[in-house]
Amino acid sequence: MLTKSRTIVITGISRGIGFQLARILCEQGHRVIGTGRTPAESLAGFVPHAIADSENKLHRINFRRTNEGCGSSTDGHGVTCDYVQCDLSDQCQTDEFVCLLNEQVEQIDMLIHNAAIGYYGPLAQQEDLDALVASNSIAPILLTRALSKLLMTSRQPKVVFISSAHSLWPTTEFSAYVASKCALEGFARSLQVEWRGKAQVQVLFPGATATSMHQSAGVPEETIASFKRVDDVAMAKRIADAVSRSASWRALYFKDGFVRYLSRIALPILCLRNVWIRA
Amino acid sequence: MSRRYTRALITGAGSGIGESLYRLIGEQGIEVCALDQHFASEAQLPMVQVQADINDPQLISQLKLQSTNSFDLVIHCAGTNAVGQFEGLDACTMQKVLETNLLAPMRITRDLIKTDLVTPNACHVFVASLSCFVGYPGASAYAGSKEGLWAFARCLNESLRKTGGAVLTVFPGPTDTPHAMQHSSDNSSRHRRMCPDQLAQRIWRAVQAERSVLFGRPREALFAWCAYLLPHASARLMGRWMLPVAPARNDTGPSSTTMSD
Repeated sequence: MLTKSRTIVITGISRGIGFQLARILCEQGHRVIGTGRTPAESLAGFVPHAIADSENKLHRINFRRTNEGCGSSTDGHGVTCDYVQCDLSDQCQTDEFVCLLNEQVEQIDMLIHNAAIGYYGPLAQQEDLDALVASNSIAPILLTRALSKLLMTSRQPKVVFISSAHSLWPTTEFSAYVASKCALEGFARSLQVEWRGKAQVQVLFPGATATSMHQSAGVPEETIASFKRVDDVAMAKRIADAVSRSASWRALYFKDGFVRYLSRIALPILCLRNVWIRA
Repeated sequence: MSRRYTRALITGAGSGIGESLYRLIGEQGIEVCALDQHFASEAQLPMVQVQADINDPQLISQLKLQSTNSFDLVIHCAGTNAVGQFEGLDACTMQKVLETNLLAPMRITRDLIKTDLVTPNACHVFVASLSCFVGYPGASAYAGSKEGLWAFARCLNESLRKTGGAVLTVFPGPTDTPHAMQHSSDNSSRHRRMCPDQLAQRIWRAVQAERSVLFGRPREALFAWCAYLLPHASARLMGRWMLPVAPARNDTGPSSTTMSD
């Protein structure tokens, strides 16, 4: 658990892992500023509370009470976080969001890239590759760059990329999604070297989680039923725990961690097999 | 027994590795469709030069207008780079790097399959980078795009296995191309870079042998192997080699040539 209160920006908090992660981090006493494409009034798990800025963009919202409770309440409604409706694949909206953050906060201690979309099916049927790459690869890279000044103001800045366990092995039906997530890993690996001593860069690999993402990606119900999926609350707790640690790469499943290490050994063997081609 | 090909599509064939490849493949009597934004010289038959931007979503429709014969060899050589301190790089430049190096090959592959402009047992070649194995400070967007491309190639390999198709991913390492000259901060060690013609020969042999992975030279394979197994040590080494990162150079140059790293 992060001990000191931090200012944390999380993308894609309107549902799924992002929603639960924002709730957990708010409960821990951090200031969370979340983004999502859903309008603040239509958010399912929140109660709109107040508008925090003059341009009606920054919404202060409360998490609805759930059966397991929402932690300490400061105002009788539950813990509060800030929310900005923003489609980060749209450069204009990203610029507006960055301007808003520059006005509202003095520093950002942690930036968690959680927002993503997915497509399932054969490559020929994956229609909107542009939107997928824009949301999953381009937007996190450009947002990191745009917020780098605010991040570097913090004493312990950290950027977290939520990748996917799918990126650990080839998945034919998720080919474009896997590529977009692996692009983040490659980017993070280089940024880790470049920002060494300045900021920490972390990549997390959650396994299959019980969120609406599989349905929205077009995964058939029978396939979803065959997945062994972790509850989104449990996965968000693992992520909240992982972001408080310093490991650069962290698989959130033992199984995925094992596959990751196995693939590290298997790949060079494959490479060696191919190295003896002489021109 | 090596496989025979009849019709090839090569992106980024205007210079560098792409140009070497398209001359070499053309010499084998294979009908080559060379794609680029600029060509230095006129091609001899049986080569067809198409001046186009690979980021154009209508590209495949354009190709379909020229000929409806399917390709059985597709080589993605086109790529671009943005080098410099991450915070100082222009957002549009980084976006272009990801679109050209990652999105465009994915889109072209999808559209070729969708329009039956590629045979089910075709060979697809993707030119990636050694940055898939080791952090590349000063070109993080480029490293990300190439890592994504390699992941896509692995997934495509899995799906094409059923139809007899093949996917080759090439990790060239330092290659003496115009693009390397443009983006490298130090060209004094140019003589150590691999000649594009030599690399093209190796790629062609790997294509014929239906290999899935190819490194420029054995030393690149050894470097990648070590970097992959010792990520922390290699990251420290790259940090020492590449940092302090050169000031941002936001000129992406033509999206046709292949960066050597």
